[in-house]
Amino acid sequence: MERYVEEAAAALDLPVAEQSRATVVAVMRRLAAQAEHLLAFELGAEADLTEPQPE
Amino acid sequence: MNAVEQVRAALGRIAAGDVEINAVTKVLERRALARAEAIDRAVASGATPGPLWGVPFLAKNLYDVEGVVTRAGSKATDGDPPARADAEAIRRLEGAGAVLVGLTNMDEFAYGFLTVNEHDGPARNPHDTARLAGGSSGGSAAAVAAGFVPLALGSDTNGSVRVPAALCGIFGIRPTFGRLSKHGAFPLSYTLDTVGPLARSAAELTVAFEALAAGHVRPAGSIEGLRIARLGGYFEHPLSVEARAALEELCATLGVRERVELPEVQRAREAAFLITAAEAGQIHLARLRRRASDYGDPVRERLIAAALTPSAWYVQALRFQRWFMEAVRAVFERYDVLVAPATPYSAPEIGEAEVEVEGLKLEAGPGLGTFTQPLALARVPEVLVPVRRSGALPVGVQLVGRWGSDELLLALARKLAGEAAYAQ
Repeated sequence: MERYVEEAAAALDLPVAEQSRATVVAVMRRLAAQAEHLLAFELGAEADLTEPQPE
Repeated sequence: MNAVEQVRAALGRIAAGDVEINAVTKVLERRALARAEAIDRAVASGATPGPLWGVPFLAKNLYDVEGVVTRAGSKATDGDPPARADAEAIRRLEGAGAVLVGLTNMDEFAYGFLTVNEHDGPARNPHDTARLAGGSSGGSAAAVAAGFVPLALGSDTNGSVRVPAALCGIFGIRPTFGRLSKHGAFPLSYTLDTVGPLARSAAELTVAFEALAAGHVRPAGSIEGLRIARLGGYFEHPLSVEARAALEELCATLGVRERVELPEVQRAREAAFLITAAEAGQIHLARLRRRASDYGDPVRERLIAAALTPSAWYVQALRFQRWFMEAVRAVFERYDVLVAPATPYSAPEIGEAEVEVEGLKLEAGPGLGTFTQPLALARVPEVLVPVRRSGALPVGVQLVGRWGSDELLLALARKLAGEAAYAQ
């Protein structure tokens, strides 16, 4: 996660101060855990973001 | 009292009481008195007074006010150009005769549940000033609870009206997503943000909602014979003794006997966290690049992480939202109103990092959003009914309705307000 934060922040030209880095990584880890649980959920086709096709 | 007298009285209450509460970040005395004088002149000339004639109100400091820099609780907005016009919500309340008298304290950029603001200090709970008012609309809630004004504007993304309303013992509404204009309100999440009023009574909350929805108010319908169920499962725990007692009492008052569960509520909360993070991160990306050091410590790091959210997480959260909205809609085929606790516990002490409830240690801030955040994802309306028991801190209960049933929930809240425990 440290490497992801470093590389993604650099790609976005987003400076992360040294004293902020550990907290940013901790927040990112928490978001990642939430995302992992959410991504594990099998959504049906009805949850597609595409608009329904006309009849 | 005429408008000028009402406004002067409110300004006097703020001057006398806010040193202790810290709810108000800016007083707009000159503007308020000019507005009140104009209203009184118009009424003296035969104009019909609006439903909120002369009622002083406050607005969370993320709302645009013409000629004022919109701070959104941050130093990182210092130097922004002043707003060119009032936010639509302020315009509508003033169109109904109300008078804006000032702006209120909030979590920085509305990203929190505590109103512990590094720049402005914490908003204090009028029921116990050693305790928090909740957030992120904590200044608005505390000001109403302290009696400064009968009405205030907040905003609710994941619970930011309902949480502080519950902790401060006042009424509030998160309206159906999209029903009230957000124009001129500093955003946190385009997908979840709503404009929400807070008031000392259900009647005043209704008048405010109707003013904000002007031209689009729907008939409430009958509140007799409503099919009401209590939300079970996820919403049963953790609850403090006070929060559980309040929920039981309100269910008894309404004669609620059935329980119903919503599916995947924990994932709904996770989706709300991820959507909020992804959108807030992008909203703040340019400002973070320029002036990250002007953000307060807890918010800066959270927003930097938010800006790095991978799109796969965000898109899955949006897809899940569609699924969850459909699941909630299906439950409302069987019921008209659902009842849920607002927060697991009453106001924490200022500086309290953790709260223990039913043997669980919860982070004081995020814990407050346990029951409000997943419901935000469903885009349905919730009205917060405060419950005040003698000698105890206030807690709240959410009345949850199907999409567009805001008026029905407000009517039910007015009925409950006739009961002793809910009357202000």
